[in-house]
Amino acid sequence: MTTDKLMAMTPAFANLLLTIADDKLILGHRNSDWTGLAPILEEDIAFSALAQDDISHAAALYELIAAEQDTNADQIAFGRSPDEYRCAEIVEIHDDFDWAAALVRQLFCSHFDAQRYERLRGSTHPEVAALAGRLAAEQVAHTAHVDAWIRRLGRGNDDARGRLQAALDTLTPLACMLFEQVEGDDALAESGAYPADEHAFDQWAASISRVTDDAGLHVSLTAPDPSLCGGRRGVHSTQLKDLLDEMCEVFRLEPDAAW
Amino acid sequence: MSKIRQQPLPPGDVEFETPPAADLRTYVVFTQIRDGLPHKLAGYLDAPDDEMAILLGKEHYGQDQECVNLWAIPRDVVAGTEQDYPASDEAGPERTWIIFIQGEAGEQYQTSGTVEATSSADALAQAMTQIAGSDEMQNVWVVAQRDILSTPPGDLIWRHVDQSYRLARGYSKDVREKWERLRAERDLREYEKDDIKEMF
Repeated sequence: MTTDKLMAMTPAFANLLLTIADDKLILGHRNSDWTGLAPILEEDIAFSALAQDDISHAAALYELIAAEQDTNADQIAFGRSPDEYRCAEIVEIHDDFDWAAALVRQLFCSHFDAQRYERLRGSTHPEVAALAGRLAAEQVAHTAHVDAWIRRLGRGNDDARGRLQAALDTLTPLACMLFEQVEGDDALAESGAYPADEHAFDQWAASISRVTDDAGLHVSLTAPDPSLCGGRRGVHSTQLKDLLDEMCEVFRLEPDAAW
Repeated sequence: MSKIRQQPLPPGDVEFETPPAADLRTYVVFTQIRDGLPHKLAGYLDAPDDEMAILLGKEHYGQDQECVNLWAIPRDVVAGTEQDYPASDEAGPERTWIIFIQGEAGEQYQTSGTVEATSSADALAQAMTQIAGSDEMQNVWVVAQRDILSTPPGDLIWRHVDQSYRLARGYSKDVREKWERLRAERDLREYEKDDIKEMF
């Protein structure tokens, strides 16, 4: 951790960074369940490596927030109650070991994360902008990987295409909720901490469609109703509590554990 | 073990149209840890096609150590001094062949120059002449340069964000002891619960 005083971070900006970090941590935790179970050996290794990568991205963001709030990354990652998490529901739910669901979730989230990192690169907060640049470069591997799978399975046999289409249909409403408004984002845009992008949803939808069209799949994405309240404001599925009970088991037993 | 894994998995006897390993091809993977250093054999992998071989290679061998470039080569285009990698006399246009040598038994193959040749047997013979006299040399491979799949220049393979959490160092003794105690207490509670159930 750098000893230089970081540029001040407003609570609203810390909250915005939490939405990104929490998505990454929970997605990485969910995807790590595939270790030992992915469809082919090399994908088992690759999907696990990408899951670890997600967690390292979360850790890097938690470090920045922790430096500002006089706490540490573990405390933020593991020491909160469910309603203090800011992740979207799509990362919370279990994929029930349906490989199509795992890939489709990865497709929606990877493209969304790539886009958020690009916006964050333009932040007036220099440490955050610099970190976002590094994370954006690494995120490329995630989108390339999942796009390659979706294209192959979509162009595969009826069984593969049918499973992917079913997963797309099921997860589309949750995927759109990735765009649930984050509290204070107007002010963040105005201050330049998180530059506004009025075309964000359309660009994300277009980047998803480019892959699904190419794969012979269909997806119809519409921006979420602003009145819907979800994970960005601490309203979560019951699955998040179960996930946290498991993920935080060691931390709750020994908050200062080092390993 | 993750509790989630205790959930029943779907039955394993599902009939798929395509057998699981039908389309996989074996690739040899080489990695380069810094510009200017030779590419060294990192290992083998099975992938459905060339693009996936590169993508999967990057996440597997590209994360073992620092890596700036990665090659994937279909195993069946490798010709060498070992029986498993037969060379062919069948002549084609003159091409550039990359030479890989294995210094001593057990060492990894690594790049060591090129030759121009019209067949793999020709390339191998030239490679052998080129490095004759080196008493360390054990085995040689040759691969036509055009058969080598490479990550694009400047591609980010090795991650730069802190990866130390990947290191498996094990829980400290204190945590481990506490953990074992907690598990034992939990087992006892479960046992007593069953016991009470049986009484009524």
